[in-house]
Amino acid sequence: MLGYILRRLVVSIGVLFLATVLVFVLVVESGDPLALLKANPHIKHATIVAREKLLNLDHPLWDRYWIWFSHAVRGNFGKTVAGESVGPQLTSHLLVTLRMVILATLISIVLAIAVGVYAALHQGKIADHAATITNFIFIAAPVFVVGLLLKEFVAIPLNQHLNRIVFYTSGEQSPTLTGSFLSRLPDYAAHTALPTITLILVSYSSWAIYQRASILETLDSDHVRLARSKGISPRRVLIRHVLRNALIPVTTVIALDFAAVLGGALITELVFGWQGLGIWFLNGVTFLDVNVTLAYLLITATFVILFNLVADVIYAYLDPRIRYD
Amino acid sequence: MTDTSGRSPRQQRLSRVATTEAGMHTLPSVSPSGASDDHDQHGLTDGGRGQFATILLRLIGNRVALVGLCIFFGLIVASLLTAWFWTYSYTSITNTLNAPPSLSHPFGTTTIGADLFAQVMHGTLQDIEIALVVAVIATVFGALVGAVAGFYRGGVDAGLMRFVDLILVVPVLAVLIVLAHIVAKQASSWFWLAVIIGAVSWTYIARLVRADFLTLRERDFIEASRALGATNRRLILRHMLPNAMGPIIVNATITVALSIVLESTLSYIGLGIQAPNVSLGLLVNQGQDSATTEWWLFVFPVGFLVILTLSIFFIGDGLREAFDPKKSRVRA
Amino acid sequence: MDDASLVVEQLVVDFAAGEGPVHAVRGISFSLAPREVLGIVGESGSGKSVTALAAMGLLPKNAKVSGSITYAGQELLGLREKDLAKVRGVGIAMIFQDPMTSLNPVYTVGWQIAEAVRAHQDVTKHAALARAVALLETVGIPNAAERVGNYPHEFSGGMRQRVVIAIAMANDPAVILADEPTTALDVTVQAQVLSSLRTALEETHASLLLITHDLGVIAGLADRVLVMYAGRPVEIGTVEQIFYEPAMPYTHGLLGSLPRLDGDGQDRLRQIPGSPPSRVGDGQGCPFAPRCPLRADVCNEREPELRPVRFRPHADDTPSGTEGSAPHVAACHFAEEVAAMPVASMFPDTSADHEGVAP
Repeated sequence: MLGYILRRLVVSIGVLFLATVLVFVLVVESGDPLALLKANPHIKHATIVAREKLLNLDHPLWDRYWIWFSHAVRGNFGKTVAGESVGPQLTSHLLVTLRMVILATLISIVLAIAVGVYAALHQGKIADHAATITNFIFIAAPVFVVGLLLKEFVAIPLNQHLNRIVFYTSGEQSPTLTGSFLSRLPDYAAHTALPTITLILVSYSSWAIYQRASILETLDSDHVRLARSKGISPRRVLIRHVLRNALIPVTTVIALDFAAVLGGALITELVFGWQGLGIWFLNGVTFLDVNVTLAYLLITATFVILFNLVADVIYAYLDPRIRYD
Repeated sequence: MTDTSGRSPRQQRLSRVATTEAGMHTLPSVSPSGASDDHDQHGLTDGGRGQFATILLRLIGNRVALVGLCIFFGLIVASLLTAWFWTYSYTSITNTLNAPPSLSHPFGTTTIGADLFAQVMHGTLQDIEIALVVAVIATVFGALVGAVAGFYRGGVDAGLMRFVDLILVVPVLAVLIVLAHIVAKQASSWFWLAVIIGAVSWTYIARLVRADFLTLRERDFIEASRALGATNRRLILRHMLPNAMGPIIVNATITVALSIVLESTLSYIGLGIQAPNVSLGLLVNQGQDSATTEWWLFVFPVGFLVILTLSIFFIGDGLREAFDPKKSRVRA
Repeated sequence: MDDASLVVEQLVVDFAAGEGPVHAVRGISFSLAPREVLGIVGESGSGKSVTALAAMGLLPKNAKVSGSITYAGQELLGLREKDLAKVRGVGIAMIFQDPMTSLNPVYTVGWQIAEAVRAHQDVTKHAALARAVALLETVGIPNAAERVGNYPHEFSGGMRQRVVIAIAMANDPAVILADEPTTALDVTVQAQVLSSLRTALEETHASLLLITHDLGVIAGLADRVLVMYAGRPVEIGTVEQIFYEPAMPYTHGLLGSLPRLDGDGQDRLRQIPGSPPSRVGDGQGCPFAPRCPLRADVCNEREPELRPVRFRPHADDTPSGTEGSAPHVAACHFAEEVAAMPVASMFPDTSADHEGVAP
């Protein structure tokens, strides 16, 4: 199994760098990042030349890529179009985004499994129908719709009704926040609540539907029938033979979907005005900032690969059949 | 057993192998007419209806899917009728600004005086157009890639799957944002938007078809057809693809729904459909700050967006049930 | 039958389906005496598996069951899952048809056997595992002590089925229901599995309900045979009565289609023309009539009841069947005449390539 995981890792990294080449070419070929600067009559020519040198714009395409690559593997992601260092910006924005993503992913997984199991066990009854309909609605509604709806029709009325701000709708923390980490926590929480809830609602829904289907299928399977015929208690059948087996396909689905969670986080940050990776990336693309774009790609891809690795390990634990590949 | 079709016993037996092996997913073009075995492997019959009819009836019998179908086609008809007959077009500007819904403007007007009803209807139509183009591109390309990968296996398969991974290793939205930015400069037509969305949406179908083909490849009826001299191309197109058609159709429907979500997200960010053209996502963006003040600018676009996507998801779910019903299998 | 382990009375099972209820079982009654092997024979769709599943309470939710199934005096139909769990495994155990999917792929074989043991016996995990090893040895798995820690996918089909038999044996049940235990396996493996089954019977002293469509398997193991057709029993008798004096045309047909080692090797196998009837809707008359060479008007009007066959045995010493628990009964208006006919003479020779074979 270790070999299997290592092989997957190597291939993923290879694919990743291939993707960076592709994106690099796309972004670089689509225009001049300094066009705005050049159009501004107040900027001196010398400044422009200096900036060009800083960004290696005087080199041909493949040289530029090689420069970027050789620095990137050592952790140096170059300079932004504005001349600042990419690395620190990446880190600060990443920490903001992670706040939301980690919490949302964990809660979504638990919620998806719980709802899926509950709906399956009460198949055909009102609880099942209610769960299925809400699932569908959250899958159909785009992230920004859910976020906006929560913002306009839950948070703001609630805040007005209670006459104080329970849910912040903008930013990831209050601008003048100081103090120890613990004292800052309530502020963080009040800001993080809505975006996290948004992300949870759009993520858990498709997984819950899948989990429900998986349980229903397992309930009908031959091995559950044999387990029941052994005379073990119904509860034991449910936990050891139904749930345990039905979790396996869901692991794959969740792992495959993690990239989508990151995409959802991007939009959520936009809706709630967070200074996270999402908006940083969007601005980078708008200004044809190749270093920012690639840095974002690399960091998100790394997280996706890591997440998939964890999922692979969990999958191998759950399903002995794949361990000896 | 007597058989009156006049074929030799060997041909009769081969045709029976083909139909019993092909099972539920076979569309009429594959099984010889009239020779289908009415009983499934448990000895039960279903009354002998054709495959198409059975699936269609099941779809319509599913209440949720029926609602979805009515809504979806209702929306298409309504938006077409609006485009042809409604007093205002989506570009007309009137002098009434920010007016709440009234008889002359059922959805009210926008900040610059456009009729919101015409805009929402046009946006709906635009979204559906884009989504259908995306679905066609994604399905055709995805099915082909998946079919080739699953059929030829080995190096071809590995290479193609790495290509798929290339697209999936990063959030689809991020890739789309990069592509959209580039495309927005070259051409402003919605067609290119559909193309790039299609370019990132084909992967799921490819994986599905590949998995199906990997198993179908081993089935007896493929060996039989090969023994009768079928070429690879004929095998793929005439024998295997029809068998994988069920999941492909279901997935194509879901792709339609998902592409609406993607396109409206792009338009919301400002990288999708641009003014003066109109899409539901763009309308939401334009109306988001007025949600509590000029509520119609927000509620109608959002409502139609959600209802449109929901209806397609319902249809897709109904199709999935129609192709592979879990409840009507009875064992003896 | 006071000493019967399992008594089934007028069991009727319908399945709710789209086009109307499917009558899978239309009234079957039999009793299983201790240490007896009763074989239930029939084609796919005759309702044999459904009968066994009904006894275990394992039918799908859309099944409607009526009638009575009693074990050791307790009525099984209608029991809640919790109470059924007390009977399953220790009173009645079941062996299923497809060994490839019956075992849970994520637990070791030893774990699954031990789980069965600990469900009904108050023993430590260690002791249960030891019993699992012993059971594996009994059913003929080599290297049992090592293999007890293997997963099902590391076993072949035949060995998996033997594990299933071991699970069924684990608590010395009084009744074992075997639903087509060898159908999914190669013929060579079948013999091994049947031998394991025989060992299981010897060790547990259980009675066996053997469901199969394979008459060869019946001939080797069964004491009595019940032939099912279209959801009803059409003939019940001892294995000798069924094989040598079949009193119902369907049984004749089944036997006639069997290759026999004691034949002269030149006879064609005779098929029964046609297919079993649809299980949807109610028919009239004998369900076998459309395929029966002896059909008469009365056959299309009245469905024959199971009644004793009054038939005097032949002069040559073919055993006439012991006067034991039940007489030889058959559901045919012409049972006596049928019993008198030589087996495999009733159905015409209708092989398709009759002309193509050299005389």
